[in-house]
Amino acid sequence: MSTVRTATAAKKAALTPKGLKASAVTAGSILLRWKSVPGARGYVVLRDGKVIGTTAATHLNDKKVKPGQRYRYQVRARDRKKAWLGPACKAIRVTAAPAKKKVAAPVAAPAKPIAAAVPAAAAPSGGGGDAPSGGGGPDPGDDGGTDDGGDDTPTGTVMTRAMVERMFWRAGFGASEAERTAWTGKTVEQLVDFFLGTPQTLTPTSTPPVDGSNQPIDPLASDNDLVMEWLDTMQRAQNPFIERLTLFWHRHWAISRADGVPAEWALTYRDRLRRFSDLATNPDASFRQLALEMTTVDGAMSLFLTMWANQKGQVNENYAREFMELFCLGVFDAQGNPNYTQADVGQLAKAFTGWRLNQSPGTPGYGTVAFGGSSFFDATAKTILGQTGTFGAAQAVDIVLSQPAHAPFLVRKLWGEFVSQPLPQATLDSLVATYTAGGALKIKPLLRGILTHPLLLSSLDEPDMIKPPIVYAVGVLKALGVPMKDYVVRQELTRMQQVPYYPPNVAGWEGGVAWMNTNTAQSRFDYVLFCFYMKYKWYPGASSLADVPGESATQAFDRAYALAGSPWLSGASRTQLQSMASSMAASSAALRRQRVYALLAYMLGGPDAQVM
Amino acid sequence: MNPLDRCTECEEIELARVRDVPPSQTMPVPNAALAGFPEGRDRSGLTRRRLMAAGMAGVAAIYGPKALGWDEVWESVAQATVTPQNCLVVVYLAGGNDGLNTLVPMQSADYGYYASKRPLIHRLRNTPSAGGRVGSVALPGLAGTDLGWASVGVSSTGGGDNGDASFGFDKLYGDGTGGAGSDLAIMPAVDYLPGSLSHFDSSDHWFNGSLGATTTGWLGRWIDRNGSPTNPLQAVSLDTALSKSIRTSVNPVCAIDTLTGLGFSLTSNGGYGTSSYGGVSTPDAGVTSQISALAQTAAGNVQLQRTRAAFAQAAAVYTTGNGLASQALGTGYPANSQLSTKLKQAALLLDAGLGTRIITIHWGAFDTHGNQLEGQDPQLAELSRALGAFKADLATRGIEQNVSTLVFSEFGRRVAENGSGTDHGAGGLMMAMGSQVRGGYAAPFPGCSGAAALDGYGNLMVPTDFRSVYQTVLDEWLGDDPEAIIPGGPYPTLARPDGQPALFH
Repeated sequence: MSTVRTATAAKKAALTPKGLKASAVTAGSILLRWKSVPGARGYVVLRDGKVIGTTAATHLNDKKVKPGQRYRYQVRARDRKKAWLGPACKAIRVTAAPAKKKVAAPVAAPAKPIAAAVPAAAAPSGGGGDAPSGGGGPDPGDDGGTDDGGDDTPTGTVMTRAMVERMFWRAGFGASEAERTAWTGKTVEQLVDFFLGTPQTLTPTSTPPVDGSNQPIDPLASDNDLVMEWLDTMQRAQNPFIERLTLFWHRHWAISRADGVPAEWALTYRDRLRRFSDLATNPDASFRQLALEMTTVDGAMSLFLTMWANQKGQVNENYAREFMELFCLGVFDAQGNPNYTQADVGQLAKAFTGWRLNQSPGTPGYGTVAFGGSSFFDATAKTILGQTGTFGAAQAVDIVLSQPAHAPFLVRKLWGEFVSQPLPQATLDSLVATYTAGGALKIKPLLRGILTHPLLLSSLDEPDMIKPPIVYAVGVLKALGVPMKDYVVRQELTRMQQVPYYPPNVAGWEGGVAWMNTNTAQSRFDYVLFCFYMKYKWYPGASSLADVPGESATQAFDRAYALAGSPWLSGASRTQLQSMASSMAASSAALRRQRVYALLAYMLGGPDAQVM
Repeated sequence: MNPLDRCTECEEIELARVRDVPPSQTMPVPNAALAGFPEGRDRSGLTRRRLMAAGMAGVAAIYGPKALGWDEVWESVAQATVTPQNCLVVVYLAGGNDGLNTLVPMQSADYGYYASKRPLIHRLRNTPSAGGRVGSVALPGLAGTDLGWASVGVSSTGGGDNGDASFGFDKLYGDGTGGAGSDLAIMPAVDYLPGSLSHFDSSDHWFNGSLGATTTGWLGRWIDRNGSPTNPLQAVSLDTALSKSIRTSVNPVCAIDTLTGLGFSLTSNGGYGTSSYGGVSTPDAGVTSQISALAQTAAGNVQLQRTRAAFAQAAAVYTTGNGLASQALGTGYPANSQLSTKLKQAALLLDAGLGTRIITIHWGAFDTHGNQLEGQDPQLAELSRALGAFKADLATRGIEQNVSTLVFSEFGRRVAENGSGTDHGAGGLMMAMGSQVRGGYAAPFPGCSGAAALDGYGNLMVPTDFRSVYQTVLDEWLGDDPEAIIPGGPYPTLARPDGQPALFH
């Protein structure tokens, strides 16, 4: 623990945080923000005089609040050397919001996970007590228009356990039992508020990822480490949606390390995308700002799509083409008309000239992009998509984004990331209106509209979206509590055909049913075995699954089911696995263990485990 | 204290693999390549999309000085000469295989000392197994005066216990005259000279082909001098990491962990299976049929239907043997055997004609400090059968005459037992197999008639330097100037006790 040394009064005063306020208050959480203190290394937050958390950021979300309760908060700053703790700022008093009235009889969260917890195939999705907007049944075509966009009413779609499950898979990496319990009975809107309104914190772990020598990973040390670093965040994220959205942006604004992007630049790129995904910290994040940064700031993108080579007198159209084709407009609009011409590509490239990339290792600013001025920027007139002027990058970006084709293009793509049902026209129109409202192209309201849409909850009794490999892989890590070591996860993700930082081409990953073929099916099953290996054999301190002498087949099934995180299983699969358990020998510890391992493998890695 | 003593944690086994440098890139190995490429080997068929359409057989971790492009790799592979060339498969028995319990001393003084120093683990002399003790079968001809196979490596028709009628060391050795059917050359007591007191370096010496520090393997240097700048499949470690023996400085090589045809498994495949952490082996067929059963239910949506179909098809491919590692080739291998799996993959790779000249396999757990009989005997049985099945597999594929197989371990073990096992020793057993090998007694056995016949530490004397064997492999089989590849030469030619002139025909 640090000790507080005496300091002069002036130094003390300088370390006092200012501007402490509560920026988001709900019945269950209070989000505190304060101004950054120069010279401070981190902050300590106190509630009613007791420390409730430490952070290097300038915010903290206190989630252990009771509805209607009043609390007294203060913040202290730690100085650079961590030996000094500055004085506390003036306390603020915050009252948590009152509890919301429940709208309908919620389905009680089941007790400890047992077989009965899984919705049986025959049961209607959602169970009793669903709010009227049809929270579960397959509902193609019929648009739940009344629930689009913001929801002003204090009530909302109360979630059953299956709905919580669905939300956490589509917007995260599956739900832990604790998450299921915490959110069952709350509404979709509250959960979406959580996803869109909570900065990232990570669940602490006593088994961090290690490299092949059992040393802590360094993401810059190797490809395996780089991949594990991000997967580790996904596994432990308390707000998994931030990582899911970051992954979406990575698919969309795709860069690949296979073309030589240095690891440091890839991390900077990833952290940038994360800024546009952490909608608590950046509630006004806009696609416009993201597009501008990708065009004029991001080193990885500049290298990958050779923007650095696009200079006055030697126009390189690579980035400009993809900017329109893949990132902002698409080739054709919904009616099949081309959204731009070859001439537009060339002219856009001219407007994008002048952005220089520092490619000299060891120099300050390595990997950064800077405007090179008139020597490199072509300041002549350009005609882009019907507009003429001596446009630079920012203006050209605006021209492209103001095309009518842009909003539906992005909305469709985002919709498809989270919802498996086709996008009804009326919903598309409504989401486009939300997104383009005021011309800001803000990300948060658009996402709220998508994530709260009832079609996201379609077909709960038979999930209808294939888990992308990264989502599947992290789901297994999270459900079973697997500690990562060395190369195996990356190796298996390669076989499953999705490795972070390595999309196959600039169009990202095709996704959808393309994820599933005989090779990837086998590799998804094999992956579970590698997870067992890390958890039960290879990670330092690992030990085999415990044996339960005299364990019956039913008990073995239940134990495996709980260990697997109570996954979705069809009725037929359940019957098949119970029957298999009954037929397996159990006369020794090794045989009993094998029975549970086998059940676990099929539950975590079999066909039913691949959909969400 | 014998400086060759080691504590129980033996890192040499990991020293055999390249760990300090990660692969420069990974690249999928398409099924289409193993099946002969789409539309023959012309350029237009070699695009990534076309090749990957039929899925991926495995992933190659490529070790090379620079990243290679998809096109240049597969063009190079496709252009690899279809004229048969001599290939070498190297099987490394990890941990220090006890040569003395594989090939048992037969001379009465040798045997007497051996048995007296190994009360628990010695074999019977030239008699079938009895009373719970493994027997031995003397080699045919004069060699049988010196040595005999432990029965666990001998076929049932040859009077042994390896459980197979057709395959065994005896079948490969034949009459030991080097003629037809005499396809296994034995070289007992091979090691490095002068004996080094630094045991950490021992396995490095074997892989590097040098007692000094090098950053390349002996076969890696051969690849650098004779290989392709763009075909990483020219030397393959069938393993999760590259073997140091094929480490290069100029040309690319690769490690491929697994190729198709394995089906769903809870057990083997590189030792990741449940039996290595407290479970038991489950036959792959059982797992595959469970997956098949789970995939049978009709689904109500396209995505789940597609998923179940993919699993069902993957299971079906294994079950009906339509996979590339079809069961019609590669019969007779021992089941549930990781060595079999790797040798089948080696046969598949060599048959595919992708320019592969060297394959390394790292297998087994031979560091038998305790429970040696329980540890070594089943592996010797497996080795004797798998090698035979591999040779037959290559013959069925019509490529056997182009492939020679070298089997070695980084050291032998002490003459005297220690508890239920043995300590590290010197002078391990090397073997060379193939119809182009002159089978027989290819290097002298130094004897173990008493302490005076051993070195100062109770180990076998070492009449043959391993570099003499490497020299002859390079000179007679792979083709190159050994002095340009193995530093410190020339080394003495192999002194064959059976008088044959060379190691290869």
